[in-house]
Amino acid sequence: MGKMEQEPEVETLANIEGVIGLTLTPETKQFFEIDEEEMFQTGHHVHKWLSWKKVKLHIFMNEDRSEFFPYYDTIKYYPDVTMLLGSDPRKETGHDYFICLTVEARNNVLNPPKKKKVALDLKQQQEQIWNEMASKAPRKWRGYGSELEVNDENVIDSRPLLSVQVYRYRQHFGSECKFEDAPKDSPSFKASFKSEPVEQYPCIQTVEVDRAVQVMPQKKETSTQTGFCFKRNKMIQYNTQSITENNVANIMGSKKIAKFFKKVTPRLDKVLQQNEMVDLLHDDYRNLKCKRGHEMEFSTESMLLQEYQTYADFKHSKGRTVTTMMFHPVLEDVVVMATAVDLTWERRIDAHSKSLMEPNYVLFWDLRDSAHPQIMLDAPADVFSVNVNPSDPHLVCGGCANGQIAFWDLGRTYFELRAKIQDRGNLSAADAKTKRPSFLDKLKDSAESLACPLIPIAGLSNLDMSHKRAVSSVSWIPPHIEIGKNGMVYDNLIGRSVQFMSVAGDGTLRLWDIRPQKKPGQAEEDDEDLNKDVIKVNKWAHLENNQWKYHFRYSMEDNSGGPMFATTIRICEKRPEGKDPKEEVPAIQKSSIDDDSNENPEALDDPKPVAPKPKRVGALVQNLSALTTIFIGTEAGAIGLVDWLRNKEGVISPDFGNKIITNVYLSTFHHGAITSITKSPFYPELLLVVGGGTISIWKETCPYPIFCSGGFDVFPWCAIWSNSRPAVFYVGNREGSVSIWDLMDRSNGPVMTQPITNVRITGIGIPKIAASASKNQYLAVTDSDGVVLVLLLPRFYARPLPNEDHVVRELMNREDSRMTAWVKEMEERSDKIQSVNYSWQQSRVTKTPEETNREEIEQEGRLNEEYQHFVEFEMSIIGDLKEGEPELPTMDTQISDEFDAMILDAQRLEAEEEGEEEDDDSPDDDYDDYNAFDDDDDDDYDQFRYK
Amino acid sequence: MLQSNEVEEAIKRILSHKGVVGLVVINHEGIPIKSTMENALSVQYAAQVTQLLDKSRSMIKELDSNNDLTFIRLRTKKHEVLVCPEKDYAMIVIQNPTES
Repeated sequence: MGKMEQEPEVETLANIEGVIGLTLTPETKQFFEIDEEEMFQTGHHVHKWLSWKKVKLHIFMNEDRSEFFPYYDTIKYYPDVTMLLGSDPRKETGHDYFICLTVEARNNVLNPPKKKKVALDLKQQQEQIWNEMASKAPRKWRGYGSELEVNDENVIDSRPLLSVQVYRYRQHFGSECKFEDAPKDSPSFKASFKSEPVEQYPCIQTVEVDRAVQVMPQKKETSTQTGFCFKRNKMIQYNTQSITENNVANIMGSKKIAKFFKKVTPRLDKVLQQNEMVDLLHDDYRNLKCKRGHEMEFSTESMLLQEYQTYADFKHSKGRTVTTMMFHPVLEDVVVMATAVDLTWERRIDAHSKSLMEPNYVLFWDLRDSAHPQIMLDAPADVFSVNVNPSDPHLVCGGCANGQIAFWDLGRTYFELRAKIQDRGNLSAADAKTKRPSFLDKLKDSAESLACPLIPIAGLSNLDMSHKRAVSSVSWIPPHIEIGKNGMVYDNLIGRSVQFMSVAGDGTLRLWDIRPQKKPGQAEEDDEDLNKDVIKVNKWAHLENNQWKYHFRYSMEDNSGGPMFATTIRICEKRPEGKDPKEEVPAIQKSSIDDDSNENPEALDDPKPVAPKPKRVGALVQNLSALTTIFIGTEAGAIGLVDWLRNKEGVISPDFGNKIITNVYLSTFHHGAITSITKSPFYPELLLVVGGGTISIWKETCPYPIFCSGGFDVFPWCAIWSNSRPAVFYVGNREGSVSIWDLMDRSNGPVMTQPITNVRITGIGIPKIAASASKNQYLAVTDSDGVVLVLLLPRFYARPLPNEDHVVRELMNREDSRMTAWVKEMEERSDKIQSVNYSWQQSRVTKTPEETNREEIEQEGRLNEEYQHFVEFEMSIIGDLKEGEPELPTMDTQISDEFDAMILDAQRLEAEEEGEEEDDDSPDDDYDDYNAFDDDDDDDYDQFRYK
Repeated sequence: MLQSNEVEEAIKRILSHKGVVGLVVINHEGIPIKSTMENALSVQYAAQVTQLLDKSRSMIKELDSNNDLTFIRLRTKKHEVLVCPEKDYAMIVIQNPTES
């Protein structure tokens, strides 16, 4: 048993498990031989080893009086032979002594855990690690694309930040405030948004927008000081000096001026002649550039059409034939396209039930996005014709295969599309590089483009009031006029197109009005009240539910009185003379397109632009001469100028009940249905017509073509004028090729024919806005497989040649005069034939049998006489070999042989038409003759045709 | 009167030239006497051309006092202005030579 001293413990004994405090009686101390003094000498714990057996003995001897008795159960199982007892001078356990009941407790007391040292080690270790890290040089940072996104999220100041100092005079503190309405033109007034109930737009989901706008008007303070100016005491008003007429007469009569003229005129003449002969400042280089075949200029450039992009929607257009395609009149780069099942009439009937089930769409394509159409219009049936309103480009009308007229309002979708296209323009103009779309944006964009907006139909005509066959063409009435119920033409004060015409294969022409029609029984006041009170949920409600009826209807007849089946129409847009047709767009129309109010989609909800009551406010248009005519092409290949208002003499018939259109002229020239009529952008009176495999150019006023092509090895189907060169037009052929015609180069055939697809070409289009020379020029072609092909035109066709305008004008005038002369000659000849015919008939009809008998006898006598004369004549020759005068032919034989055949034919015709021939004064007479002559004289006719 | 006819003939002949747009005869004060153009325009031409004439004539005289100005051809973007001065009168002809 030894004693040892320990270092002061950190932990108190009470915390150690198995250490029990004891208070020992003096007997116990004696028993264990514990020296009291020695144990408490130092003030620290002093340990003393007790024999385990001795402890047990103490318990056995003293039983419950023993201090160790309460812990007997633990002591009983003590594993070692000695137990540790220690003094506790600081009474940590509450007693003088303590005893360790377990071995662990004993070890803990003897070797308390060295916590302090371990903590110190940890600290050192950490420091070491830090030192290590500090000694390492950082690696160079390498970007893996994340920095772009970071950059995109960065907010960069586009301008130096404005520092605003707001101050208030102390004297104003706590004073009263006055709030007033801001003046209307103040800049802070502009941000106002009308709130509309969301229910009004069932297809639009409301999304919460987290956005705040604060408008801070830029403040500018300037001051000027007027400079010093000299004071003026005098002011002068002056008038131009002039000489009185008497004086002028005097001067002009004087010798002086005569002398002056004598001196001056030779000099002037010389100079003027010089100018005429040589244009000194003629720019040769400018013209050099455009000369065709100038290899220097064009060696690098291709003269061929290059394919730019193909647009096809596999779901909605693939495998269907494109019926119409047009460039949007306002948005460049947008193409509108309608498709139909590519079947013949009989097959279509067979497959009727199937095609009824298929959805029909009119597609809007953006030339920049070849994957998805931008807008789809839902159509009830196959759409055969589509036209976009020129003044309100969000309105679209179309004609369906079942004869119904459909009407769509793109509304907000149009403005979104327009904004998208405009934004794109701005973006590319600004800096495309800095604004690279991030991945997220791309993802968003693609998601947006996938969700192509589907526009429901806004109006559908009543089936009974619709055409009986497929609508072949629709055309908006120009925005400056409007047509009344009786066909009269009025000035359109709104300046917007609200009416359109349609023709179909049922021989009728119908006019449609998109405004609500006033009901006959309803008083005007009621109408107004209704408009005020009823909140219009759908402003096109009047066009729905089978209510839409045509404004008026005309049936068309050809010259023989049969129905005329029109295929295409072009409304003549000639306006008052003295105005340039290019600058013709009325100011109102322009403003309605570019108006700021249209920027705000809210303006659309205003029913004002399209729903005024059909109250007649505009004045009657004065020059009715040119406005009531339509250029029309028929299924039979005839071209006509028809007038819906006036009769043939150009007089407006007093009763407006005329339901049959007057044909100003109608001439059959093509040998098949007219498939395309397009108006020249340079000369509005020139029309390009394709039909029956030939191409012709017409002037609106002439009843015959001023230019026509011969037959080709290809079958032209559609054609369009170039928008940049007056002499060029492009023709799409049924064989899938595109031909380019250049009248400056040759007029007997196309300059170039290039195969494009292996299916039929059904339509051809060119943007309305002529591209500038620097930009690419596009030509869009549609085929019967539902594909829009956009081709890049060669540069050569982008700019007019010098004098091209003049040359084309000359050419057209020459052809016009030639045709006029030819027609005149033909008329003269037919007149001659008629007169000969007539006299022949007269001579024949008026003779009674007696007269004929007499004549025969006379003739016989004359012949006999002649014979006698001849015999005498012969005798005289034989007699004296002297020449005699040959006998003159008699009156009857004077009709030359060449007319004989014609006479016979004419006689035959006359016999056939004897019944109809009775009234000679009918106005159709001229045309009949004209046609009859055509039939008779095919050879001449071919000569006239262009080779 | 006979002389007046001659003058009219001369004017007609000048006007018949190709591309001639108008003719103005002015006196030495710059007042138009005879004009084939509208009044306002001819007054403008007369006033401006008179100044030009005085300036150019003085320039020529400064250079060589024996020399004199006989003709001015002013080529502009749109047309050519021909000025033929004499002692008391001057004639202005506006021609559009590129017009064909």
